[in-house]
Amino acid sequence: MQPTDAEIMEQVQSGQLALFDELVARYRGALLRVAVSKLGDEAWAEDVVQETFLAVYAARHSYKPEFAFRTWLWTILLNNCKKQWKRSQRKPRVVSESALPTEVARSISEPTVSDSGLQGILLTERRELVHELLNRLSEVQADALRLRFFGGLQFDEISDSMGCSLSGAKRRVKTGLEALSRMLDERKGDLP
Amino acid sequence: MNCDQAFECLTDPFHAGQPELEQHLAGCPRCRQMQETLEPALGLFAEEHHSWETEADECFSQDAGPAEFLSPSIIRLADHAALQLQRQTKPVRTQRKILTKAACCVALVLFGAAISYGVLAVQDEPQKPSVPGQIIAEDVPCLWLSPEKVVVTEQTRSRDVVLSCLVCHVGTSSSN
Repeated sequence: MQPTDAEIMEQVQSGQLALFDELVARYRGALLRVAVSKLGDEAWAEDVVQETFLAVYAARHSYKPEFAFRTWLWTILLNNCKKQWKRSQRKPRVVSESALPTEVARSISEPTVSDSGLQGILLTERRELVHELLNRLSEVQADALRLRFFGGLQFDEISDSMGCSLSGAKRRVKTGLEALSRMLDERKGDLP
Repeated sequence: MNCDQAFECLTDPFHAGQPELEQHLAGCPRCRQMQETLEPALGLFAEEHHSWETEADECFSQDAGPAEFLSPSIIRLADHAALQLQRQTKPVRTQRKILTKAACCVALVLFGAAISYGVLAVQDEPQKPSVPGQIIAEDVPCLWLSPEKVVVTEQTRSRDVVLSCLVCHVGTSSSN
């Protein structure tokens, strides 16, 4: 039976630092998907995820087992993304999406699947589309959808991470999906 | 399964297409309608999820395992960053304390200055006598002490002389 996140954190707190790798292995992929979707740049998202883990590691002694590790981790990631995004608004890191969509298209997570060619292009196009459509939603709706579908969070975890009620989290996901579906219906022909 | 659980199941990328959900949808037109409305977005996320799973499978088949995150250099870096953060936070707290104390001192000095200014202003003002007799004592001569000032008219009465004397002496004795 695998140790829980809280058990691992307790052991990390007591000095078994190598166990932290297990937490990284558990969450890195999901965190990266959300960060890429939010920031639109894989290298940037990698940095933010790295920063998130480092922040968790640096603050390991302040972790309390009675609180959910996942919620803590996701909250730090969302805050880091926001912070980085604001910083980039003041001091742009990449060319803005509206100005040069093709540039961002390259920076959005290129599929690593080995079957290159047409399928790779279709995957990239779909990721750009998802990124673009999510950016057209309100931030809270888009974040709720990212956490639900890219992070695989339960609704109670979304509500804790975003600081809203359980029904609020469900409403954000539902209204976000409705808006997204409307947008997709409007541009059916563009879908890869 | 109720409608709330059906929505959770419908939007769960890891457990979509459960038989319980299908059963619920078959008997609940409201949830069926919702599924139809949300289908374009749900389909898009399902495709994305599928592609991630494929990527993850390929990555794990290529790598021996997940890369080590906490390498010694990373640990040193994280500890260093944590230490720096603590150092940065402490001076900020100290600075805040100093600023608060300075603000308190300035406020006290200003308060003291305001009070002393007020006292001086009051002292500069012409003093108003607290005893009404003093004014009368200055303005009205004591007719008992200076009888030459008594102008005997028809209106002069002994009562006026007594009153002027009383006012004069009461004012003098109260000021003494």
